[in-house]
Amino acid sequence: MNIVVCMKQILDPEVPARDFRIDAAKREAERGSASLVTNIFCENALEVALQLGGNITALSYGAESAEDTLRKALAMKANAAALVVGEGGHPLHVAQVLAAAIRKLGPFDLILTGRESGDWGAGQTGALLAEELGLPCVSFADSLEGGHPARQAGETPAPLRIRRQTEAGWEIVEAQTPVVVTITNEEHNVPRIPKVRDVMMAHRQPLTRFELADLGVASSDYYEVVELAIPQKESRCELLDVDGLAQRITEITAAL
Amino acid sequence: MTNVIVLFAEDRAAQGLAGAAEKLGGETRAVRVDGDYQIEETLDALVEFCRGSEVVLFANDTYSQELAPRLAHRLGGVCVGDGVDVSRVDGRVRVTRQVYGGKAQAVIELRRLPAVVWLRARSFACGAVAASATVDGARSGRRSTGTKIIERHVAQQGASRLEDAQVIVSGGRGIGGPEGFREELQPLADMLGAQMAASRAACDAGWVPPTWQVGQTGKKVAPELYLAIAITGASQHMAGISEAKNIVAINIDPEAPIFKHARFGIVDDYRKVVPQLREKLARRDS
Repeated sequence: MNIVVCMKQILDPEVPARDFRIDAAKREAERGSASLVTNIFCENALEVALQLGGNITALSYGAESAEDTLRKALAMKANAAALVVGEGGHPLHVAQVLAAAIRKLGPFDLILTGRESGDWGAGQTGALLAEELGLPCVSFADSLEGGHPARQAGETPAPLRIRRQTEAGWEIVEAQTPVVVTITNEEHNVPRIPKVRDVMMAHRQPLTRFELADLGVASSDYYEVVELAIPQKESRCELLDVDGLAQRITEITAAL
Repeated sequence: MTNVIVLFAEDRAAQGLAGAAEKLGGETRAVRVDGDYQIEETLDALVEFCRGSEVVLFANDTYSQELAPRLAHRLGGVCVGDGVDVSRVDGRVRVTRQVYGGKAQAVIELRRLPAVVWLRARSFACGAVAASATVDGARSGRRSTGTKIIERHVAQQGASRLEDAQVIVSGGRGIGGPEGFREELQPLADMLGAQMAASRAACDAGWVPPTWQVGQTGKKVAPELYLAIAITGASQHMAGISEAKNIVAINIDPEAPIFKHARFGIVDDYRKVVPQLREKLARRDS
């Protein structure tokens, strides 16, 4: 099975609130001293792909620094990596760029993305990518099994069996490939730690590189961020003893 | 201006969505998805129903989240999710949402119609919903859609959704294992008639089911009372409880960020505090 995993590099979401600043004019977070990391759900997606097995390509759209994300993916044992160098942007633009790259790199049986990113968290890239590619989409999956394309003429391709999370529990979805699947976290898809040797090897592996102009994606107005602010709402916490807390809880619950 | 409110089987979000629609103005109709939900089939049906409308509002359940961007794409519109406020400025829809794991708040203006928005329904004052039409979420005109939901499992504790809970008892990494949830937090939740929840760390560790996860990437809740027990209060977690009315923090670390958001707190080990708290509450009950 040929699998592409879309991976985004983001500002470390673990940066503490006291160190977090925004550039009000650019309506973006300031880099500051924070490190850049791979969005966790993208790593969950790569882990799911590695567990399923196949020929895996890691694909990223972002600044030159996103090469680090792809090198780490190679160290985790993705087979190939491709970078589209560009500024990023709103989810439709990102989906159009990824779709164009996927058409050049493919064909693929399975396209994986994270469910959302830890920076803007729009949660739309996978869904819009499916629309751009004209494929069905299964969201919030945490593990996949089965699924292979027809290996010879006349053979029926085996469907993928996708476990996905819902409000109330989980569902099993059967999907024919090709399909787009967005991945969420679960105890069994915690990303593996690459071996030191593989990290070193990954730096020597080739990387396919596209400029945005190679892909012919026009930018479009879609939505605009008109305000970005850090909300100021620190409440003063009243520290109590157990007796006092029991009383407060009783008061609040009595009013319900 | 015509608005459409899309509802799934659970329609407790309906009034909040109606309230949001009232803020945007215009005529509003509601549509309910009936039948056993299938992804592509429901999307096809909603594309037909919503054609020509200018605003489509969804709640924050997983079905809404997965369909909203695709519906917008097919109708030539634009989608924004996780809205906590909406407004209309010079005819354009604006949506307020948290970004950067709850560390910042953005106002996003949608530049195409229809504006397809999924909202934290409980953030809005209740409005009135008009009589609803229905679409069939299981049937499609197409012969094959490529995907089929073949099994549905319910793992939840009680009958009600965490998003609708008025009291929530939630545990974090500091609980230390599944035993703490089972033996200390669950009895407290039972006493309070509360739903159980957890931070991402506790869910990723496998101590409790992923359906319990509250935070930026889990459920967004808005209870009257949220007991955050052994939860540090990272911004990603706070993003899920920003609409909670009263946050109570029990944490051994006085520097934990949760105390910046809590109304009441106790700095101590939960293993000591929670049994005492249960005892005091039981005495008040009797």
